[in-house]
Amino acid sequence: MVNFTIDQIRSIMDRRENIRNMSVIAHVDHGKTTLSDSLIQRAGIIADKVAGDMRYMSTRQDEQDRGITIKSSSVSLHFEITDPDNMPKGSTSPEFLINLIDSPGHVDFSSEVTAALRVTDGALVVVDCVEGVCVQTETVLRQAVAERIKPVLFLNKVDRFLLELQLNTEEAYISFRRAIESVNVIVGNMDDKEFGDVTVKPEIGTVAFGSGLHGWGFTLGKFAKLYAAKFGVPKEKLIQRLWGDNYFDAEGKKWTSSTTSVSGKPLARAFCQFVLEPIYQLSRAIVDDNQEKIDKMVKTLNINLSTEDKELKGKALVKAVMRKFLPAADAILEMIVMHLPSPIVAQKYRVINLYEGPLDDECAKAISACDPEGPLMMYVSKMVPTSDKGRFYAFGRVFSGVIRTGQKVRIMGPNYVPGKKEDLYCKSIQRTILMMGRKTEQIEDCPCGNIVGLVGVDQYLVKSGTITTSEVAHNIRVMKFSVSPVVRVAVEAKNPADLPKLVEGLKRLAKSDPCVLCYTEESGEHIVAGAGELHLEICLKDLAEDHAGIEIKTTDPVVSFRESVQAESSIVCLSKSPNKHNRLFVKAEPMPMELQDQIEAGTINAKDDVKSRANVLAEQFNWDVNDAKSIWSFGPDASGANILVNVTKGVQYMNEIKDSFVAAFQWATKEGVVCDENMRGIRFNVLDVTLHTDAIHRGGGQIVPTARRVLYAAELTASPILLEPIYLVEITAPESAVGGIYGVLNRRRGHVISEERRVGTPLFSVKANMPVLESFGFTADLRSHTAGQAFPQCVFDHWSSIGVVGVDKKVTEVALAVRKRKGLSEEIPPLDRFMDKL
Amino acid sequence: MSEENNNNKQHVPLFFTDSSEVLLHDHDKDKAEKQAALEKQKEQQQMFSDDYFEIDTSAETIKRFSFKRVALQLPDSLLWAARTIVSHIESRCDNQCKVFILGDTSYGSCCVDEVTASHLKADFIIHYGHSCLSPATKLPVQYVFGKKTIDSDGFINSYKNQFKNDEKTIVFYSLEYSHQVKSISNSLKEYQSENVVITDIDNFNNIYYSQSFLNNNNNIDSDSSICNNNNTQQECCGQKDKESQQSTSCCSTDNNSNSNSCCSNTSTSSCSTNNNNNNNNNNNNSNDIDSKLVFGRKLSIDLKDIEQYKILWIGDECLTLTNLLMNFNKNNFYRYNPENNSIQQVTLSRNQSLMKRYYISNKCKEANIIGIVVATLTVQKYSETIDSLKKLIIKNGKKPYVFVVGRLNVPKLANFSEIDIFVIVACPENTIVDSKEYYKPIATPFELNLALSGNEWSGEYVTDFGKLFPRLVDQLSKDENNDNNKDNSNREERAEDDVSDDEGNRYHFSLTTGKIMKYYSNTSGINNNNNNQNSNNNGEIVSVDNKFKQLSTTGAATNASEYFAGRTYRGLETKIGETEVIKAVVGKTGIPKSYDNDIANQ
Repeated sequence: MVNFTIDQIRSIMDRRENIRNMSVIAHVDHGKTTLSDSLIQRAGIIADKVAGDMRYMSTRQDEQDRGITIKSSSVSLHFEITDPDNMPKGSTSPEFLINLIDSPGHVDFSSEVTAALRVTDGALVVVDCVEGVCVQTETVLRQAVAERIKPVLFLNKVDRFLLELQLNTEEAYISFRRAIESVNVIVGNMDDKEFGDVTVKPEIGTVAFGSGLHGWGFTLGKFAKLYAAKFGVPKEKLIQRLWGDNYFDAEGKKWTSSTTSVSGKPLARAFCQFVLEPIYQLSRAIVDDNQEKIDKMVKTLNINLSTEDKELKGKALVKAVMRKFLPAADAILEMIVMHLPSPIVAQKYRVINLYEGPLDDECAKAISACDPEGPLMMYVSKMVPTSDKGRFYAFGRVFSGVIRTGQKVRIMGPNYVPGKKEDLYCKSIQRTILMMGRKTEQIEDCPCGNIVGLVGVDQYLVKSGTITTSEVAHNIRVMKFSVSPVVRVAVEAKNPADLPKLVEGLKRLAKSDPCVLCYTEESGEHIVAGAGELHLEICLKDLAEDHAGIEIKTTDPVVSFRESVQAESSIVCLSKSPNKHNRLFVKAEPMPMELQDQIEAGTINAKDDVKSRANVLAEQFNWDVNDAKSIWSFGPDASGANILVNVTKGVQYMNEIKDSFVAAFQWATKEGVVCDENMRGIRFNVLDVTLHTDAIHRGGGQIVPTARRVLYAAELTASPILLEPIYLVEITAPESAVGGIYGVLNRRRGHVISEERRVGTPLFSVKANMPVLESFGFTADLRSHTAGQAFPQCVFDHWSSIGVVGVDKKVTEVALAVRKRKGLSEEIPPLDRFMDKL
Repeated sequence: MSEENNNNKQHVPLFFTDSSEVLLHDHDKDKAEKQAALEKQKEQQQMFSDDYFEIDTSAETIKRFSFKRVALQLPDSLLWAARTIVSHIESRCDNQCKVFILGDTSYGSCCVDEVTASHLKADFIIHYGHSCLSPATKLPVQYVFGKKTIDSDGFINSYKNQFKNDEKTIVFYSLEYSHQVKSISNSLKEYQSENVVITDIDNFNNIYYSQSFLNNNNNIDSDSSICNNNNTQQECCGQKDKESQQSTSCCSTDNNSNSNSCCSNTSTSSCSTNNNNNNNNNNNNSNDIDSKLVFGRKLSIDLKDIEQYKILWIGDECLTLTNLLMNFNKNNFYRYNPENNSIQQVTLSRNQSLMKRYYISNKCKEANIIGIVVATLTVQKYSETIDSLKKLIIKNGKKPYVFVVGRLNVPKLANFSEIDIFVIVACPENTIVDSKEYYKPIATPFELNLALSGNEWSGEYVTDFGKLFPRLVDQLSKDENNDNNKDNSNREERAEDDVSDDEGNRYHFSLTTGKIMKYYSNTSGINNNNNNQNSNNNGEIVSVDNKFKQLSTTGAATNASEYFAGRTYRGLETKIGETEVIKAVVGKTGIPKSYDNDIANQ
């Protein structure tokens, strides 16, 4: 533990080339937090009595209880390179500041990882060498590389090989190699010249081995150094020999690549012989209580045991000795400092990924150079709750310029468009603070390249945003999460009087988590949507206990549907206005799925140029060009995947009713007729209208309700269907569990798309489609049927029809259930309510 | 509008529908229908013989106070009886009084339609059918609720099954059962004397108090003078109101507002001058009782204690019950169903409806243009409420418009698509408009006040804006004080997510949109303009027609004009100087279905 004053830390923060921002990422239970603990113990900057306790980074009670990380948390570490000749390129002093962010491993909290990755340049990937690379390792690794985050690897839990599994050294080597290869398969796919080669290799020092729990770890460099003197070979050369198919032939006194010696005796791999063997011997000796051998080895290895340590026996002594022999923190910190990029290096290639605006404006240039003199550009990636209830620190990374207390800045939300005023707030920074795990320290200002917390901007940002001083600045790109909030529940206050508290609580909850979605539906229901069941459970617990502080009732999970049509309207639908003087004629027809997807992806857009859009529609989807040119609107929200087309020819006053008609279209597509869900994929053709000659009798009051009715009639006559969301489920499990997976999937209307063996592991990966409706309790169900071996990951994939409403019994039931939940009349509205006779 | 006319009007459509149906149906159906009609007729005759319409009481009252012109207000469902009632009453009163039937009400049929009654210079109104019991402002009213019977033994039994002896209950009941209340309450008191409170309903309004007063003082003269007063004052109002009725159709409401204010002025002034004593006494009396009045129902306990009670409702599920549920949302509600003789807890999704209302209240916060819909002209303090609502809205940097559209319907409100949310000023039972058909949500004054005053909701809900009104005034005066003291103290009170930027605009994080929303625009400059203008107009209700005028005079871009700027169709192009000037020609005449001079007709 290094004890620094804030001023000292602040001075290190100015040396951008000596800063490393990194996150610790891994699969759940691979030991991130425990490893982080040992790093903090060694190098944590602020003196703190609690530091060194287990799970320092788990700041929440439930994290401690469950033993999983839920929120990512950051801490600053100090590291000084002992060998001044061996400093990484560009660094100016041997002192380094490492900002470390510990992230959760559970798939439901992936959004926390995304937020952590955004503000860091490097990632320490922790892999349990027994389990190997798992689903979540893969997900976060892919995300890291997509964000251009450089990975280094730590193979954790090596002690289990020694003590638990009793693997021999060669078997251990093979496991290591397999894990490294799997990592490289994932990161090596990237063909990214600017980013460079990011594969990890033990021989260049980007892989460390060890045990976070026991606090020991090493890179090959450590052993190379030990042996360099003995062999009289330079360290750099020796490192190459210590990995791969290299053997030392003691008889011939030479290095060879064949597995046998000159005389034909089998040889041990150099890695096994020189690296693993000493560790094995030492720990065996201790476990066997061979005092003589222990003393001898301790002496040769130059380990100074304290008198207290000498009293220890068995595993405790292994831990003590190994910690002295191969301190994990030193090995890892050195690896981080040597192989992860400084902000100056990283921002040069990250700027393309980060910045939305042109790459030659002042902000882009400043980011790319990490220029403290340039305009301030900071990205707030998440909100961290403060002790002050309902207030948050805006946590983020300064990419250029310096952020100061009291500085006047522009806060830009995700909807900000340069030059417009929407989502733009001008405010002064109240305070800038340094986040230290559970503690915070106030600092005067913070230069670029650092991670910082802000006070006083939380109210202007929902979850994330850009803070700048430049008036021409564009947003820093919004983070793309690998999970989306699809599991929804409605929450209700037990006591109606607590409703305002619930609403306030929901607002706080929405801020405190990067992924959770809180909103109020038209019916007054408050919806909380999370990435998965665990995520939702944690969110609801937080809501009840912290954010709202009231008793809440939770409904069963609900799924949102979409209303669509299957065929063209069987008849031309007519509705008359309340005064009977205006008649509207409309037909509905389905749109192809690709068109729906393109509209939702934004490639075909309401804001597109009419002519070019018409051409695209005509070429790709066989639309009549004239129809395509007379698109009135997209809906709902003027951007959804429903289209209103005016196909009338030469009708008078059409321009007058357009606004009213479009308003009704937005309304109708938002609340479909079947069960008040959004419509999707319906094209409404306005075939004809007859309007009263007198303007007062064809005003909005007559047209809006009538247009809504005729659109509903058109939907009802065009074989209305309900679409349900479908998950893409990825399950990784050993072969023995595959049978159980199939059983569970079958019961839940899932069907398997592919099944393949994962290269280098005994694991199978099964991909399947499953309705979201059936996914509640899926994880638990799957675990119980596969003895806990299968681990599913669900991502929304597409919409799929359940059947025609009114014809299919099941769909009708579903629709009625939705209507009931929303407090609507429990019948599908009959057609005659919307359609009139001529 | 003479009685004869009125009667004809009511009957003509009935006759038409009957005959057309006869034509459509075949013989068998015809028979069945005739049978049904016969039965119905029998039933109707029965109603008269049962004194369903309480004709004796009415006649007695009329004779006693020698009312000269009596107006009958009947809901559509009872219109068939109108003629008979008229002839009965007139004959009982020895043809001393003239009896009218009021046509369709402008607003809900539960409210006493004083305006129409004033057209007819009526001095007494008999209101039939369901009523919200909102106190009428000036005219004496008799309520006739009709009669339905419940099995009182069965009721007592099920009551005993449901409630323990020591449970405190308040009994509310549907109006049709009020005639039975005495007997029920007696037998209930036998079961448990202290813990049950039975609400009392008064069949008379504005007359009862004077009557009781009169009993004490034996001063018939003074009372009749009130009536005379009413009479004279109505003359002045009546004429004005006629004008207003004509003008409502085109929504220009200048006249209306003037006439209204005139009405209230004259009523108070005339009363105060002519009958100071009496009036004062009445007022005191009524104020006293008002505090214990719950939607026209008298409670013998303090309102503060009401939370300790369970509430039992006798009757069907109806608006009144919903209204009670909303207002007393902390109490447990039970409903006695007279049809199957059972008491059940009302689990009507009250929580859900409260949530829905809260959602609408939150919507008020984000609305820029708010339309105040006047849907009552009888409930006390409505015009003051409208004024203070307007002030409140302007204070929050939003734009209010006032609409008088008569009976609310979907097309009328859909005409004003620039309005973000409507606030309805109506009687307690009609104030909650919960229909998906409306293009824009309709809030209640309580919800608007909740959203804009910045106070946290405590779980209460007030449908009666008369009760809300003092708070509105308080709020406004408090705000004014705060303004004077600069808003330093104000800032402390704000909600945690309520923030302002350097320009003074205020934002909050909206759950309905999931974004940070501006809900207060600091347009102090424009506000001042508006204020000035409003004071010039002296309480004039701004109608849509002169909105355009206002836009041009204010000059500053309000949100409504921004809205119009965004529309693709902005009305006729003026093309000043480009179009040829021609003499005025005869316009269209007739009804819109086909004008007399339509091309087709010529």
